[in-house]
Amino acid sequence: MTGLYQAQRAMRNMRRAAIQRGVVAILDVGTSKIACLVLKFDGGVAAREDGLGSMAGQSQFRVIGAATTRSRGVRFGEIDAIPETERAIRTAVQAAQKMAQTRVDHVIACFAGARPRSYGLAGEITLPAGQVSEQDVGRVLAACDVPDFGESREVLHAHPVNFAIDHRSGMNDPRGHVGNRLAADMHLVTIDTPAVQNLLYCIKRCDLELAGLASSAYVSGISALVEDEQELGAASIDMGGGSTGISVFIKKHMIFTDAVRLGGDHVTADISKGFHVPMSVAERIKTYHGGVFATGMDDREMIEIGADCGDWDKDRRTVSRTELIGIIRPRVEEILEEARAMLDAAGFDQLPSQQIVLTGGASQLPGLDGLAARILGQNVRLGRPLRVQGLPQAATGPAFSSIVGLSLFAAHPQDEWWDFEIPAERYPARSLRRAVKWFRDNW
Amino acid sequence: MPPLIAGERPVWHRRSGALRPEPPVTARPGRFETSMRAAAESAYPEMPEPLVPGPAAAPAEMDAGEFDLFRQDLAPAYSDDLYDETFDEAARAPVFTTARRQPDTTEEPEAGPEGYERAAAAIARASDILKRPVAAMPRRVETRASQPADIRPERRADRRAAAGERRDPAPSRLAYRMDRLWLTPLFRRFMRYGLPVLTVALAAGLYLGDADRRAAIGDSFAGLRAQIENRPEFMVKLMSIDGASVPVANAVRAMVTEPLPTSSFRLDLEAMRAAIEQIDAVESASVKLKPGGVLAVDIRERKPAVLWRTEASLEMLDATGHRVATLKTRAARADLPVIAGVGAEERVPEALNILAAARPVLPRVRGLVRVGDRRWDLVLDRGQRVQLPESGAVEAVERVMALDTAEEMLARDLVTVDLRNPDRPTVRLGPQAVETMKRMAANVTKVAGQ
Repeated sequence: MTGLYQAQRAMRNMRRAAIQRGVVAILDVGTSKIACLVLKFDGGVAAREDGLGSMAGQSQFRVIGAATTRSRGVRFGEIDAIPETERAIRTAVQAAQKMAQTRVDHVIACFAGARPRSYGLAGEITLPAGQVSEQDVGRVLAACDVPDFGESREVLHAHPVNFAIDHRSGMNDPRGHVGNRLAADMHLVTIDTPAVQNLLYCIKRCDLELAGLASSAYVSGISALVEDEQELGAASIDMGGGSTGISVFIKKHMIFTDAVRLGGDHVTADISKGFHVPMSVAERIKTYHGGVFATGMDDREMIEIGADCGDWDKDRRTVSRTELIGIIRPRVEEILEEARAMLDAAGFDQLPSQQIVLTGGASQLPGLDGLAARILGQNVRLGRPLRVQGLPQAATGPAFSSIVGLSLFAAHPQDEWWDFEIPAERYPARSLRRAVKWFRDNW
Repeated sequence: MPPLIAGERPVWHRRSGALRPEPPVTARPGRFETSMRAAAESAYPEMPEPLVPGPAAAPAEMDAGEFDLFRQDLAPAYSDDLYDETFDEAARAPVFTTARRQPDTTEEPEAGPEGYERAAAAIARASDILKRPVAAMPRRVETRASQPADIRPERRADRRAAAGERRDPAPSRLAYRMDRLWLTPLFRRFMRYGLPVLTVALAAGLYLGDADRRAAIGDSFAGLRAQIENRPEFMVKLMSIDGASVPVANAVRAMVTEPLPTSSFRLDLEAMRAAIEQIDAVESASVKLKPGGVLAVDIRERKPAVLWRTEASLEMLDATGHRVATLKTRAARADLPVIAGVGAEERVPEALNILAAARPVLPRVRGLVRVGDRRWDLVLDRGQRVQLPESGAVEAVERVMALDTAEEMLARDLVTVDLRNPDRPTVRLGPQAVETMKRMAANVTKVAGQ
C-alpha cells in the first residue's frame, strides 16, 4: 500500500503544480469517444473556508479548449490497441490545445472499464491525546484492515466516508473532537493494474504527465447528481459505449461502484448482426430511429437500411421501426437488469432516497427512462452534466457527464486517504535506523 | 459526406462556392426516373424550383475531420464517418417527386391531330432549347444529378475502404510535438519577436562589419545632408545690423566669422549672440533669421556715462562701471566727467551721485579722484580740491554747494576744502589769501598796538 500511497501522493502534487501553472487537460478515454477539455485555473475568487463560492465554488476554472474524437482501440472502457488509442488521444489533445491556444503538460484522466470493485473498510484506534488531530485521522485510515484484493489490482479511490468517535457516528470531519476511540469507514475502489499501466503508457507517449486518475462512474455521478441527491442517496448509471458504470452516493460520498461490461456499442452490434448492415449504418439507425417502446405507428414507419453492394434488392432493404425496437430493447433491458442486480447486491434499497439517474451517451435512447422505471424503480430521471464555465454548448449532453465531473474532480477533489499524512510509525524502521547511523558516522 | 440535417440548413457548397439551402434529400431514384428527370431538366431549364430533389442535387461533400464534433445535431459524439448518408425527417417522409407532369418528349402524343401538333410544337421547343450553348444551361444540369445512378463515381470513403486504407485524423508524433512546441508561450514569443530581431541584427551586423561599407554609408549620408542644407530656402545671404554705431557694427561684422552666403544649418545663432555680447560696447544683442535669408542682428549699445583716466589710457564707462570704449583724446567726449584713481572704475554709480550733487559748480569740475581706494576728491579748476569723507560724500558735497551758494566760497582763493572730518571742516587758503590774511592781521595788530 505504501507504494501506491506514494504514487497517488505524487499525482496529487502534480495536480497542485498544474493548477499553479494554470492549465490542465481533462481526458475521458471512452469506448465510443475520447474527449479532452483544457481547463484554465485563473484563481479568480479565493476559496472560502467552507469550499463554497459563487457557482458553488466551480467558478475558479474555465473551459478554454474542448475536443472529441472517435475512439479507436478501446473496448469495454479499457485500452485494447495501444498505438491506436495513443493516436486518438493525440488527436483529441491536439485539437483541444489548438482551441485553447496553449500547451498543456498535465492531464487528469478517467476511464470506465478495468473491472472496478468496491470495498468498505473499517478501522479503529484509541486516541492518545483525547482530542483528534490531523495525524490521528491519518492513523485511523492507515489502521483500516485492507482486504486481499488479489493479484494485479490497484487502488483507484480510497475515500473516508464516515468517522465515529466513541458512539457518535456520521461525522464528516472529526478533527478537534474529544473522545477515546476514533473509528473510520473507508470506501476503496480497486481496478485492474494492466488497464492503468496501458493508460499511463499512452499518456506518456503523448508527452503528457498524469496528474490524477478517476473512475468514470464516480466522476459522472459527481456531475450528474444534484446536491440533494448526493446527500440523501442516489445511484448514477453512466451508460457508455462499452461499459455501464454504476455509482451510489450518500452524504456526498460514493459508497459503492461497479460496472456492467455492456453498453451502447453492444446495441449497435446487435442491430448490425440482426439487419446485416455495417456497424456505421447500425449506429446511424440506432441514433436516428432507435427507441424502446414500439407503437402501432412504428409498424408503418419503414427505415431504409440500404447497402452499397450493387444488388438492387439488397440495396433497397427496409425494416420497420418495430423490428429495430425489437432488437434494441432486449439488450437495453439486459443492461438495466444487470444494473438492477448490482444495485440490489449493494443494498441500494436500504438507502433513504432511491433516486436513480441515467446519464452517458447511451441514455439518450428515446423512451429509456420509461423502461428504466419499470426495471429499476419509479425514481428514475435522465441526468445531464452540471454547467461549467466556458463549456461548449455541444458538450453539455449526457455523453459528457463524466468529463465534466472529472473537471469538477480536478478543481475540488474529495479527500482521499493519501491526502492525509502517513503516520510516523508506518514509515519503515530501516530508514530511521539509517538516519541514526548517518548521524553517528558523521558527528 | 453530406451534412447530417439537410432540410433548410444553409450549407457551403463546395463546387459553386455559394451558400444556399440544401434541398431535402430523398431516396435515390431508379435509373428510369433519373433519365426522365435529366430529360425534363434539359428541356425546362428555366423552371424555378428543383424538379426532383435528389441526393445528387445535394453534393455538398464536407470533408470533415473526425474531431470536428461538438455539433448540436450530433448529440452522441459519434464520428462523422459513421454517417455516410443523410437520414433525417425529410428522408423519412413518404417519397414523392415534385416534378410536374409536363408534356414530355418521351410521352406518347395524345390522339387526334391537335394532339400531334401540340406534341410537335413541344418537341420543336425542346430541341430548340437543347441547341442552346452549354454555358446558357443552368449549372444543375451538369451536376451528378443528371448522371445515371449506376455510373456515379464512388464516394471517397468507399474508395478509401476499397483501397484498404483508412484516413487517420491523428497527427503524427512529430507533428504533435511540433504543434505543442509552437503552443509553448516562451517559444512562441521567441519566434515572433526574438528571432526576427536577431535576424535583422545579425544581417545588419554582417553588413556593417566592413569598414568601407560603413564609410560609404557615412559619405552618402553626409552628401545627402549637404544637399539638403545647401538648398536655396535654407541659405542666409546677408546680415543686417540694427541699433549699432558704425565702429560697433564693424566690430560685430568682425565677430561673425562665417562667410556669407551660408546655410542656416551652419549658423549657431546662440553662439553668435554670445560672441557679439563679448564686445564691450554692446549691452545686449539678439540674432535672428528673417525670411529672405537675412541674418538680423539687433544691438543695444552701452551709453557712456563717465570717462576713466588711467595712466595708460582714457576709457569710457557706462553708468554701471562697465567699459564701453577707449578714447584717444579727452576732447572727443568733452561732455563727460572724468574720474581717476585706483579703484575709481568700481565706484562709478557713487561718483555719478557725487557729480549730480555738484551740479551747481559742474562747469568748474575737472573730475573726481579716488584717493587710496577709500574716498573721493572733487577737483575743480584753478587747482581747487574738495576732499570728501569716506561715507556721506554726497551730503558733504551738498554742504559745500550750500556754502558756495551762500558765501561764494569756491570763488574765493581756496586751495583745498577739507571735509574729511565732518565735525571739523577745514579750508586751505591760496597764497594770496594767506598774504592778505597776514596783512589784515598786521593791521589789526597795529591798530591794537596803537
